[in-house]
Formats: sequence, structure tokens, C-alpha cells
Amino acid sequence: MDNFLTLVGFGIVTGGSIMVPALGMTLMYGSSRFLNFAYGDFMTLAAFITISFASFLPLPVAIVLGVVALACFGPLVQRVVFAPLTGRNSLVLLVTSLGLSFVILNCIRAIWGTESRTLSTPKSLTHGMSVGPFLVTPLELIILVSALVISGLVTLLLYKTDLGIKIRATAESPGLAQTSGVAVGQLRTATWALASGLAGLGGILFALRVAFTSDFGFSLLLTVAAAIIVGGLGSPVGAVVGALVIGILSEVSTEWIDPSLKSGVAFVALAVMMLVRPHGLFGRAEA
Amino acid sequence: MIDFLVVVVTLGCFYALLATGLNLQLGTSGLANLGVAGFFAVGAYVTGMVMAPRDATDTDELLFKLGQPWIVAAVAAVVVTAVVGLLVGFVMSRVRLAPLFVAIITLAFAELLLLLLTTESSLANGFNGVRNVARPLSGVAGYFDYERYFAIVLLVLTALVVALVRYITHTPYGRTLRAVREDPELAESMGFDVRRLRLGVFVLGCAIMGLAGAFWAPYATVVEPSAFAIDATFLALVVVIIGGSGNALGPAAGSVLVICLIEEGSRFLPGGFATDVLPSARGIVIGLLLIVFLRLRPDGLVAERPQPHREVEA
Amino acid sequence: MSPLVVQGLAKSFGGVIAIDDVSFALHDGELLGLIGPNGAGKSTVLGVLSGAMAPDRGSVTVHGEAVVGLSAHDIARRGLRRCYQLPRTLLPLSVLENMLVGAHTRHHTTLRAAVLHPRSTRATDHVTAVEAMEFLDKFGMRHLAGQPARTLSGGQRKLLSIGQALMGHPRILVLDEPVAGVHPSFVEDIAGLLLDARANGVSVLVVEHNLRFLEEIADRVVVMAAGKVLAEGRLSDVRERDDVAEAYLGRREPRQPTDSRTTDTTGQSQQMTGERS
Repeated sequence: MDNFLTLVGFGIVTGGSIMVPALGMTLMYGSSRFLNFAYGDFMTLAAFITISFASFLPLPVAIVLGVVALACFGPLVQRVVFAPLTGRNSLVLLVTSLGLSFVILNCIRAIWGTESRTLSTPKSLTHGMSVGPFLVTPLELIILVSALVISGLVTLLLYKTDLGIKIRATAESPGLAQTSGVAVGQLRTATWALASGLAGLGGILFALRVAFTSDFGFSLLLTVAAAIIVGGLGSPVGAVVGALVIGILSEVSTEWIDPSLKSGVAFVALAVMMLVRPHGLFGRAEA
Repeated sequence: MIDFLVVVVTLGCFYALLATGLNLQLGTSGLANLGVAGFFAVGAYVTGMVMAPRDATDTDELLFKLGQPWIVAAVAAVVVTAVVGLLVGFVMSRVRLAPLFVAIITLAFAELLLLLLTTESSLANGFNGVRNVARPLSGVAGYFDYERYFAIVLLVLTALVVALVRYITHTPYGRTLRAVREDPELAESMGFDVRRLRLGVFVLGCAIMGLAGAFWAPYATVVEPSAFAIDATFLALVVVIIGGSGNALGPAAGSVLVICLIEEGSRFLPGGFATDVLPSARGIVIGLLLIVFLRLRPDGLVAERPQPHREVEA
Repeated sequence: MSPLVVQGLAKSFGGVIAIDDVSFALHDGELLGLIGPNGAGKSTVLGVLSGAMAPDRGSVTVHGEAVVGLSAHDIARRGLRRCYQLPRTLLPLSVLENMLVGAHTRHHTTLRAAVLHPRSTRATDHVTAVEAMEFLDKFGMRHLAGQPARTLSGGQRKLLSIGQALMGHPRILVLDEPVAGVHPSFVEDIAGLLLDARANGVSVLVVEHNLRFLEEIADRVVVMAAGKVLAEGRLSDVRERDDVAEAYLGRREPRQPTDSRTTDTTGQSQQMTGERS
């Protein structure tokens, strides 16, 4: 039982790390009505930008710069790559985002190489300490707490502030928002900036914990996508809950299956959800 | 030079086959199958394992070893891949195989399969895969000639498959598929069962990918996970988009271009070219080609045309 | 027996009542108009009829068979075809192909048939094409048969979408505002098309705002307002009624008189269906 609780704890940590990018991805989907397959590479890009900045700046500054860089990069990509495709079939957008993913991934490889990298963190943060039944490092705690706090703040922003309500309104029905006088173009830029910033932060938080290579973002993409589909596409609360569900499921599953297979649990959860409740936990019935 | 040609033709045919399957799904029916590599892998692995000698010791860790001739293995490969396609399609059936979910679920399928193949070594020998796959009729031709004959046989097969798919897309069935692609709701209101039609064509496309796998196993003689990474899916996708989705001849045109220019063309680069950035540069070019083609020439090199009908001229 | 009978249909969206206890019947070989102000619930009725949405309560029978709960394609297979308000054509397909696709549900357009019986498939396709060309000829669109549908004008697309539905030889044709936004020169064509269909035994239900258009072609109309059936009968009679004029023009408080009269008409329509069956 203790072991089980420990696994649930790990699950919350894992879920926390998926939560931030999941929120961004679901926002981006809501704003543009397609799933951006380059989203994972946005995460990778932020991690590598942070590495470069961290070589001559203090780590927290480098992290902020990494997030800001992505918050600028996202809207730029939206303008240059996706905006000209407005009105085209959603398949075109989807395949274009795959092409973009390939371009970003290979640019990262060309600039930073293909070796495994780590973000060097202060030694004092990586000594294990016990919190209840858990053995964690201060770094992990900081990551978890910041992920939860930021997800909470963004969710609040989306449900309680004027801007957030507008963002959700356009996400739910673009036509309606347009007729009610919302500047859809500006809002889309804002949404992409926010979503890409969240992608960047998610990537950096991931990179702080473990060594990573140029394709870690793409391999996380499906896990993040699974989380938002399980939660319900386009729903911020769904993204948060979906991330926790996927995180806990994949950690708890190691009770029975080989831990190296745990990344597959997200896909199985996705498949089960498709069969049982295709619109997700918090999604609308029509997809 | 002739060896180069043989390689280009062979690889070109493999991509053309995969792309023909994908074209039926994506081009004709709007189903973005991103698990091409996975279905290709199913075909290749089944072929390898059905052919594996029962008493072989170096292939200890295979799910099964049946020691059957290639032709049996090939049939099994196509059937099993089709069944796997049906199962994957079934997962998406409640959302009527809507494009977004097709993309995600098929990608997840391919990733999960790769994960299982590499970590569960009792399944198919893990990273080592199925080794020493026998080459059918290898006694008839010598090793070097074999590759040439293989290329010719594969070329004929590819031509047949392309012709068959081209025929299918010109029949009322193909027309119906395109109607479903363009406006599923309208197609429903006309009385077409969109889910069933999509499921059927999805399975058909997967079967073609399984067929490609059945030829890959004896060609490569080794079936290992690394051959079935996302890159194979990506190249097939590029071939379809650049060649022209919806037109059966598109994949043929696309594969020739992609294989010659990107996969093998780098052989002709001047010496001293920085070889370590070459794979990245190639990836960037592929990605950009995809983006640019979708923006400027969404129909690809060979566009889908409204089909002429004798009545029109009459 | 009436080809299409709607009984006590109700549907609400998130607490907002769209239609409430709607009953009417489309008689054999009749051209029935469904009219009413915006928000009367006409589109919801169409959505339920064609299987696009499920009602909360009520029944729809097509040729005596209950179809609520069936999917859209199953209902279409039972002979009810729907035309959308914005003409939906398959843009990259040729005009002729658009027509042919409309007929494909009548034949075996399966992969098996295409591969195993190429000759009969081709023969059927030929017959269908001749029929389609006759239709196009009637509207001077023969020369456009090989063109992609995206090259057509709005009115031509509307004709094409109706033609596409007729190619399936439906027994019931349901149209959503067939002349809305259509160039006046096409209105007569469309009216002729619907009258022809009726003459060929198709029962037609037309949702329309344009009363002048209905006046010429409709045998009878059903008036809806605020989710209920308000009146039913010949258009010339119905339009004289105060409550109908009120609901249409939104004068005075339409609520109360509306409610009291609806009970009336519901009773009336039930009586009518009772007589017929």
C-alpha cells in the first residue's frame, strides 16, 4: 500500500511535468483548430536555447529567456507558416505542422548536435531528502510546485479574466466570437504566445530533471496529446486533469509492467478513451 | 552506376508501395495515417518470423518460428497487417475515423509497436530483430545479380499495385471515397456509411504496407526495429504530398524525386562537404519541401483531376 | 399512409428549448412548406428528420418505420434525402461526378463489386451518367459536366446539389431554403425542378422564408413559431390568421396567444394523420 502511494506520488510529479505543455497544446488547438505536431519541438527548442543562455547567464535568467524566446517564436511561426493556410482543410495544417516539426528538429540537430545534454543545476538542489514516504530532491519539488502553480494560474486566467474568457470563447466557436466583436487576429497571436511560452516552460522543466536529446520533445508530443484528448480537446481543466490521469496511470502501471514500457501506457489510455468516451472527460460531445 | 540505379529503383519501389497505401488513405480518403512505419514493420516482422527455421538457435527469442516458404509468409504478412489495421481502425471507429484522431492514434500505434519491439525482447529479439531472413530463389541468381532481379520483380509488383489502385480510384467506389473525403456529412446524408467506408479503405491501405514489408524482409535479410522509425512514415508522407495526393500516379512520381534527390542524391555531392550536418540538412530540406508544397502546390506534381467520362464527350 | 410523420418532437440545447411537441405529416406526393420566423426551430426539425441530431422526445416515421435513433446514412437509405441550405457540392470532383455520387447508394459501389464485376459496374455507371446528363441538359449545364464543381456559380451549385439528391431516387426530399441567396434567374428553375420531382411521386418538404416562392409551388404549409407548430393549411388561408402574422412580424406580445392556439393546431394535425392512417 505504501508502495502504491509512492507510485501515486511519482505519478503526480510526472503529471505535473505534462500539465504545463498540455495546457499550452490544448489552447493552441482551441485557437487554431488543429493539433500542432511541431509542439513537441517547441519544447525541445526552449530547452536548447536555455542551455545556450545558461552557459554565460545565471540559470533562472536563462530559463526566463528561454520561455520568452518561445513566446515570441510561436506567434511568428503562426503568422509565417499557418496564417496563410487559413480556410484550408485541417489536414493541410496538420501535415504542415509535421513538416515544421521536421524542420525545427533538424535545425536543432544542426546547431546543437545530437548528443545527450543536461542543464547543469546547483549541487545543493540535487541532494535527496524525504518528504513523507517520498525521497525527492529539492529540485524536483521546485519543478513540481512551479508546474502546479503555473498551471493553476493559467487556468484561473482562462476562466476568471476578461482576456481568458475571450480566448476560451474563440476556442469554442470562432464565428460567435467574431460576431460579438472580439479581435480574433490579436487574440490568436496572444493565444499562440501563451501556448508557446507554456511549451517552452514545459520543455525546460523536463530538461531540468533528466538528460535529453534533440528529439525528446517529439517523443513527449504523443504523451501530451494523449493527456489533452483524455481530458477533452480544447478544455483547459481537461488538460490539467488529463495530465494527472496519464501521469498517475503510467507510474502506477509499473506495479505490473516493465517500467521501460510505461511511456506506452499513455497510448493505451488514449485508445481506451477513444472507445469509451471519445470526447474526453471534459470535452464537448461533438469532435 | 548500374548498382546505384538498382538501389534507387529498389528503395524507390518500397517508398512508392508505402506511399500508394498511404495515398489511398490520405489522398483519396483524407485519413492521415502516421503509423505507416508500424504497418510496414508488422508486414516485415511477420514475414521474417513465418520464414524463420523452427530449429534456428540464433533466433531464439521470436514469438513464433514457422519455417514456411516466402510466399506463405507474404500472404500471412498481408493478412496480419490488414487485421492489425482493422483493430487500429476499430479504436477510432467511435469518432468515425475523423482525421485528427486518425493522425494521433496511428502515430501512437507505431510508437507503441516500436516500444514493444525494442523492450520486450521475447517478442522478436529486441534490438537485434529477426536475422538471416532467407531470400527466396536465391539459388537461381548469384548474390549481385539477385539484387538486380529483385529490383525488377519489385518494380513489376509496384507497377501492378499502382495500376490496381489507379483503377480502384476511377471506379464508383473511388468516387465515393473522394466524396467522403470532401464532405463526410454530405456523404452521410446521401446514404453512405462514412465510418465503414473509411475503415475499409484504411485496412486496404494497411494491407499494401504489409505487402511492402513482406518484400522488405528478404531484401534486407534483417528485420530490426531501427528500420521502422518515424522517418519511414515521414518519407512516405513527403512522397504522397509532393507526388500529388489523390492521384494514383503521384506516389510513383514523388518517390522517384524524393529517393533520387534526397536519399541517394547526396552521393554526388563534392568531396569535403561537411558530412556530419548532412542528415540534418536533408531533414530541413524535406520539411521545407513539405511546407512549401502544401502552401504553393497542394495538388503535388501530379494533380488529382476530375475524371473524364465518355458521356461528357458524347 | 403518409411517407413522413412527425409526432411530438421535442429537443432542447442546454436548457434552451428549440422545439417542443412538434407534429405534422408530409402526405404522399405532396409539396409541403415549413415556414416560420428565425429561431422557430425549423432547422432543428430538419436536423432531427435527417438523423443529424437526436430528439429528446417524439417520433419520426418514414414510410411507417420509426427512424429516430438511426444514423443519417440509414435514414438516407430509407429514401429520405436532405439538401443543405448552403449548397454542398464536392468541389474538386467534376459536375458529372457529383451527380454520379448521388446515385451510388442505389448500386453496389463496394470495392468488391468494382474489382470483381468491372463490366457490370461500368455498365451501371454508364446508365447513371446518361440520366445525369439529361438532368444537366435541362438546365443548360451539359457543357459543364467535365468541369470541377468549384467553377460553378452559386445558383448552378444549388441546382447541382438538388440534382445530386434526386439522383438517389429518394421518395422524400427535404430541402433547407432552396432559393435563399440564389440569383432570381434560377428561382424558376428550382421551382420547376421541385414540381417535376413531385410529379414523379417524390414527397417534398421545403423549409423556406420566401413565401412568394412557396405560394407558387406548395400544396400546404406548416407554420412554426417559438419551437411549436402554430398553424397548418393552405398558405393563402394561413397567412390571413392574426397569430401567424404576429409571429412573423413580431408584433405585440406573441407569447400568450401563441400558446393557446398551438394546442389547437396540434390537435388538428393529429386528427389529420388519424384520418389518413
